[in-house]
Amino acid sequence: MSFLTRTMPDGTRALYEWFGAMHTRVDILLRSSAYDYDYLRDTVGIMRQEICEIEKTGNRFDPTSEVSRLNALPAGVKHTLSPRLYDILTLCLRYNKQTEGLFDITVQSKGHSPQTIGGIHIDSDGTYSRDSENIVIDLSGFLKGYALDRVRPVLEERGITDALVNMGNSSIMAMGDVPGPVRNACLTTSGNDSPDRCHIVNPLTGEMIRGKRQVQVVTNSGAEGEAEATRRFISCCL
Amino acid sequence: MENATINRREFLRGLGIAGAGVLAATSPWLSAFSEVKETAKERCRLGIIGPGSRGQFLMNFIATNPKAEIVAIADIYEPSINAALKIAPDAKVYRDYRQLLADKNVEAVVVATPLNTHYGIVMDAFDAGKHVYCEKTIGYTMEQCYNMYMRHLETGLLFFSGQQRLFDPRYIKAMDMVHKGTFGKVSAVEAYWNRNGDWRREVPSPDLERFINWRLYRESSRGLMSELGCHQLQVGTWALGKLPDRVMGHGGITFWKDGREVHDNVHCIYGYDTGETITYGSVISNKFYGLEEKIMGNLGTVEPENGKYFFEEIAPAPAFLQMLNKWENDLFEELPFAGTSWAPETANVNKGEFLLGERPKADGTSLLTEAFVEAVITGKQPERIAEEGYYASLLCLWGFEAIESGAILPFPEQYKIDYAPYGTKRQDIVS
Repeated sequence: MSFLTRTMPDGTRALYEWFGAMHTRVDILLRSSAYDYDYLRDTVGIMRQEICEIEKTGNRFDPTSEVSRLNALPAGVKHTLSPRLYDILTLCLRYNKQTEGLFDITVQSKGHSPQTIGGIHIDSDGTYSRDSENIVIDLSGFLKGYALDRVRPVLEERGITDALVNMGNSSIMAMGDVPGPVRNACLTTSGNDSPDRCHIVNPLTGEMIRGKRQVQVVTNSGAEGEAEATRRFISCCL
Repeated sequence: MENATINRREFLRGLGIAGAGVLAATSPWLSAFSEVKETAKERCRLGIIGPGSRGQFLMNFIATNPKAEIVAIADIYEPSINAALKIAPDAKVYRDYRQLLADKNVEAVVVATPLNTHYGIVMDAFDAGKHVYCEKTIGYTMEQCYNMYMRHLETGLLFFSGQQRLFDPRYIKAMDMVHKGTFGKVSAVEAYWNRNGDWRREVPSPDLERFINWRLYRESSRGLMSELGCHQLQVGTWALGKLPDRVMGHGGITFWKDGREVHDNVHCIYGYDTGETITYGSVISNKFYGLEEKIMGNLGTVEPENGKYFFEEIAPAPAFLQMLNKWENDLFEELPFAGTSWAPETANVNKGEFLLGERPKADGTSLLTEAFVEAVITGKQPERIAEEGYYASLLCLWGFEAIESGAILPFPEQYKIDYAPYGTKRQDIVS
């Protein structure tokens, strides 16, 4: 991992470390007067491991990921979910309801309709099954925010109070005394950065949303931020 | 580089290194400035032996230092004396350096004469009880260098050499990052200094050819190795934190066949038992790649002369870099990086980052001369500076011998001193 350091006049240490994950860049800035650089670097190492494990679980473009196994599962066959994917999927289903269908992890399914997501089932015993093999789970618009929520406990457990974590510019978490407009919150952006780029599908119509526009939301939870930013972006275009 | 100066405050701020302890850990010779406040009202009296072009270059810095007074100059070449007097009009003029050394008013000397004369002058200066700043390369042979260093130890007198990179903020910052492991495991340092010119000085009369163009003749010079290589080889050992185990080399006169005796094209490979390599090359018939020392780690490359560094994979985010560099000033009111998702295919070309956040203003010569003045006033030899200068000279002369012999030469154990080149073990980290 690449890193840079800066020691402030009062002895406070700042560590900036960055790396590639989830098909984007991750930037982590930690500030501490209590811990040395080795400790701060170790902390980032743990955070990176957590992020990579989330990616390994939920990246549908990785044929060895757990979510790829779900996308290849015969209809009606049960799969016992890992605790991590169980957590992710139950959150996604909850946000689907909260956003009245605008946040939908099955939007990439063949022949998708607003009812498609109803074809996946997560039982209380932690098993997954689907009604149709056309159902595709796509967590691309969710994992970065979820990762923010999972690295926050790492920071808290290791006594780091001031941190800025940037998942590809679109999902950012600020803790404690760090620069910027948000503090102890997550800033999530959803949208298109140019007139030509479109990557968000309106699950109600199945159409790509075009045009250079974006929305930003500030939330306590990064995962909630992903769902809410998506809801608002699509709502703006209805 | 012209006579650009930077003051110490700018220097420290530019480095982004706070506190004397951190600074000392980074480059211990900067301890020369530790008593700068206490010496504010004191002044040292310097003599310049050999105020030719390099000597005048140094005098220009010293003359602007309120803590220094150039009280004497010594030279045998009238044009140099006249030019030097324009910088230091009140200096007493000697035609024989021994007379200057006998001058009780002179506390310390700057020696900027041709290479083959350093030894006699420096040894005489120590015998006369003068502190010494000697231009690099310090000696014409490795044995001379060794004797000079030992004489410095025996007399307890100050011994500086003209390794200005030790005081160059770009190099200090670069080495701080290298030793912290920022660029990962450093496997190689590629140093080169290329120019396109004949390396000659104008000669008013043919009988002065060897006197003026002493760098071109074997009796007085080791050529490109001693005049240019000395700076850059020290950068290699500074980065790697250890001395090489062997050297091989090749050189020739390939373009400037004008009667000169030293090579216009030299290349050396310095190898380590542990596998690392320092390469050094200098060609003076092609300037395209200019001057650089590329310090190459598995995570990135730093080019201190260029003042830039490059990471192998993803470049740092500009907004985070800005935060890191300016955090102490609380200049941040927005997050300029927040937006839609970054993707590798939209990343910009890796243009590198500036070590000091901007293009460098000056090399370390002004601070090096300032450090010498401080040391003369306090009488304290800064840590490691004589040793770094000694080994820098040894490395270039050792390489010269390899070129001359065509053999692979082991490190000359008889000239080892009780010192390991500065560096930390952090560089062994592979992230």
